[in-house]
Amino acid sequence: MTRLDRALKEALRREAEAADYRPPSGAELARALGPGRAAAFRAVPSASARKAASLAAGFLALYASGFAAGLALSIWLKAPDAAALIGRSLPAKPGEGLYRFIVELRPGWPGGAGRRGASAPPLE
Amino acid sequence: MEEEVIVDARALREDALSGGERAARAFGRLWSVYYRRLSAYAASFRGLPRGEREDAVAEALVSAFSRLESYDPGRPLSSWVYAIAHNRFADEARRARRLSPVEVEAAAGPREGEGPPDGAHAEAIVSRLSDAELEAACAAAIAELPELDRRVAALSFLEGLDSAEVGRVLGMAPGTVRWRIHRIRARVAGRVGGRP
Repeated sequence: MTRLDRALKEALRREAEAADYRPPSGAELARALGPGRAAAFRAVPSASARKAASLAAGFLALYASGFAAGLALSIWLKAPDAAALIGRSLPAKPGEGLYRFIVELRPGWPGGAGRRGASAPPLE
Repeated sequence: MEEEVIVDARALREDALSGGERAARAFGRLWSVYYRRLSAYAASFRGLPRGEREDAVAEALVSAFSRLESYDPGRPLSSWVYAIAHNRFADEARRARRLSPVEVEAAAGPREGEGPPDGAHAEAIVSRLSDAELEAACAAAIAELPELDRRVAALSFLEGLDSAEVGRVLGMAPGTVRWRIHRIRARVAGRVGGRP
């Protein structure tokens, strides 16, 4: 590069330096990243948020697995009271869905349970 | 301005494709390195109104980043970015129906009987100038350059692209690019040496 070329480069550099600058907006960033990548970016905004999300997911998994294990154990042990306790904690009313299956029908338990439609003894 | 920052094009592409925070940071790098340069380049499109330049530059950078998957890291990143920006600016100027007639003769080279400018003569003249005088002469000459020569100057002198890459961006033969580069040098020499 000759001295003239270097001088031209410097003049052009100064001209570009004089141009106004602004950082990219959030909308421009989202468009550049595209729908999929923008969604991923929004879902993981920071390391602390990632950590918090991971902790919450772990807690939920632990809670769900504990609930499932307790339910399975109570059915396996044919423990009506434990099943009833779990059944009452379900978001359902007597005669509906899981509550009916777990608490009212109690398949295989004494007292009329063990066949579909059989009524269970009243709960304490 | 961060024009001296060397962008690792391969890493930029990988980061862009990985998504998430890495992609966001890569976009920030591309933006910070090229925003001002492309703004200055956009100024050479006189059909592009000043008020629309900012949006055109932003659109060009968004477009370049979102197309990084198709970028070949073996080629200079600058020529690739400038080619996208060039097309965007030309489209915007055309849309505004203010396209300068210079676009029509984009690929034009020397006229019949017009020989190559004398590069040795230009160098001899500028060798007599101080740095300050030379800088002032260059700034004045650039301001007076025709649009197309101004683009050639930006791509060649500022970005350091060779004539083939400049030709790819501007759609002209490498020989024509070289001729225009000589002519730009001669213009500067002419300003200070009394030869137009």
